[in-house]
Order: sequence, then structure tokens, then C-alpha cells
Amino acid sequence: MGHDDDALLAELAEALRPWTEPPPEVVEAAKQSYTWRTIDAELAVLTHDSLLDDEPALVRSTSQPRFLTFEGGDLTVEVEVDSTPSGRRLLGQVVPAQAVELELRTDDGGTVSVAADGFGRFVISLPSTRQRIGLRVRLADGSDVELPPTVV
Amino acid sequence: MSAVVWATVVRPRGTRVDRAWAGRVEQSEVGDTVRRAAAGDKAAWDAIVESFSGLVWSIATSYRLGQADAAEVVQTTWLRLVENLDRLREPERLGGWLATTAGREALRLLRLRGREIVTDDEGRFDDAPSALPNPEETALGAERKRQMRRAFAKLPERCRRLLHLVIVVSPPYAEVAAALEMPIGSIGPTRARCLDRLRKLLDADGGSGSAVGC
Repeated sequence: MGHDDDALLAELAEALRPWTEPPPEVVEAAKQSYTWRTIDAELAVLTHDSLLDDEPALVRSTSQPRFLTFEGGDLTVEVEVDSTPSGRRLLGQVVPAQAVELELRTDDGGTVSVAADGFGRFVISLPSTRQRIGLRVRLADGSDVELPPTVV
Repeated sequence: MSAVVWATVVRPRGTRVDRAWAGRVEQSEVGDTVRRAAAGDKAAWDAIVESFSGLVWSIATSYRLGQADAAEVVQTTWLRLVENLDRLREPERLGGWLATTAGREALRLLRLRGREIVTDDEGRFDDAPSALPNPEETALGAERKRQMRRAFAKLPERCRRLLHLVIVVSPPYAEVAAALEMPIGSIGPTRARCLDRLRKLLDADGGSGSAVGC
């Protein structure tokens, strides 16, 4: 049985090769992901994603905003992905409310910095196409909290 | 390169073992390589990526995901590793960690997609992806490959995923066990049963030329 099975499995491997051998660009992107390495930052985790965690609407409307909550250290960061005809934005709030600086990083390596107001609220423009973003929050004491890169 | 490689196909009848991504890191060196990558060694990171890309890609594509979504799952998995390089409790068991993480991310994306569109369960394996890596013709004819994919697509999901993974992972199948949440001892027997079903589907397809439900 072992012999026949091995032969069949080898044949299957051959037929399924596109699904078992990663395209070169996927491997290349994986290597590049090392540049997302965070040093000296508290790492937050995604604790809520409205798209996944909320009761699904009968028909999901694309105009419905998506809410994400991240928590790390003593900080909670709530963001809303807001799509308007004039573009996409990230509306957010840092809790507890405080003035922080934020740096948004996109998959293509671009960065945008903004400051939150005294209530911890911020607005950042997003790229028009869906892509992976990372957000680093710099607190007043100089320490950083990094949100996990997320596709929005 | 030593014959002992990790998460790589080394089968008696395997067609090639010198895949571009395969086997840079030996099992005994996985833990050290992870620690070097955590310490900032980019070459160590690249070696990890090359060694485990086949595994991560296979996990992602073993779910009902298209190529772009599979690529997203793979990228998210590597980013999770980047974040956790110095937090892995057992760096030498990186393969299992990657398998579990990729599976979780695939399910997550499936749930996201489920909220958006309903995917067709079959058919995923009927069309070769557009980004076929160098589709050179081999001993196996194109028609036989299509027949094989048709039969494979008719297998129950659990069989598909298991067979998919045992192609990429060498025994003792620790990563397969992690990805499928199965005891390692039941993988061998399940593998045999699934191959048997595949064989029957192939026979049915070859005999009548038309699809027979299973």
C-alpha cells in the first residue's frame, strides 16, 4: 500500500504544484516584510473588527464603515475606516484621551505623520486602494505603541 | 546541503527537491536562525522565508482562497512572525507555529470574504492560477493533471487539506498536525484513506468520462 500511495501522492504533488509552490513575488514580499520589524515598541493587538465580530447585517452594505479596536499597554486605539466619494480616511481615537503623535505606514513603504488633538482624536488620509497599513503611536513620554499591520 | 531538511518534500518519487524556496535551514538550526533573525540578521530571516514559504503557501491555498487572498494570508502570517520573532516560546518549532498562524489567518480571511461574497467550493482547482510558476511539461500529461485536479476537487475538504499539506511537509508531519488540529498519529491512516478516495474518484472519472458525485 505504501508504494502505491507514494506514487499517487507524487502524481498529485505534480498536479497541485501551483498550490504548493509559492510564486516568486510572494516569497519576495515575505522577505521584505522584515522591514516591518518593530523595535522598542509595545505591540498592540487587534481586539475587535466590526466586519468579523459584529452581528452580520442581512445584506452587507459597502457604505457601512468598518470599526477596529486595538489594545496594547495601557492604550486602546479605536479606528473607523471611512469611505467617502472624495477618498478614504482613518478616523480614530486614543483612549485614555491624550495628545499623541501617529505615524501611518503603508505597504508601499510610504509614511504619513499626524498629531492627535487633546482628546486623542485623529484623522489620517488612506490610500484609495485596499492595502496593508501599520500605525505607530508615540506617547508624550516618548514610548511607542505599534498596531499590527492590518489590511483595510 | 544536507539531506535533512525541514518542511520540504523529499519523497522517493518526488520530481525535484531543489526548489528555489526549499531547505535553507536545517531542523537542528531552526531555533538559532530564529534567534539570529530576532537579533536583526536579515540573512537569517531570508533563510527562514525560503525554507518555510512552501509550507505557508500550501496552508493558505489549502483553504478555499484565490491566489490574491492566499498571498494576503501568507504576507499576514510572515508579518505576525516578524512581530513575534523574539516572543516565540519554542523557536525550534517554528514550522508548527507558522502552520497554526497561517491556518488562523486563512479562516479569518474566509470569514471576511464570507461577509462579502459566497465562494464556489468546487472550481477552485479547475483553473490553474494565472501566476503559474514556470509550467514546464513533465512526465505527467496535461490531461492527467486536469483529471487529477478534478478528482481532488471532489474530495471532502478535510481530505483536500490533509493531502495538500503532506505533499509539502516531510514526516513526522508535526506541522500538518498543528494546522489541522489532529493528533499526529492519525495523520498516516487518514492520509491512506484520503488517497484511497482519490483513487476511486480517478477511476470513476477515467471510466465514464463524466463526473461522479461522492
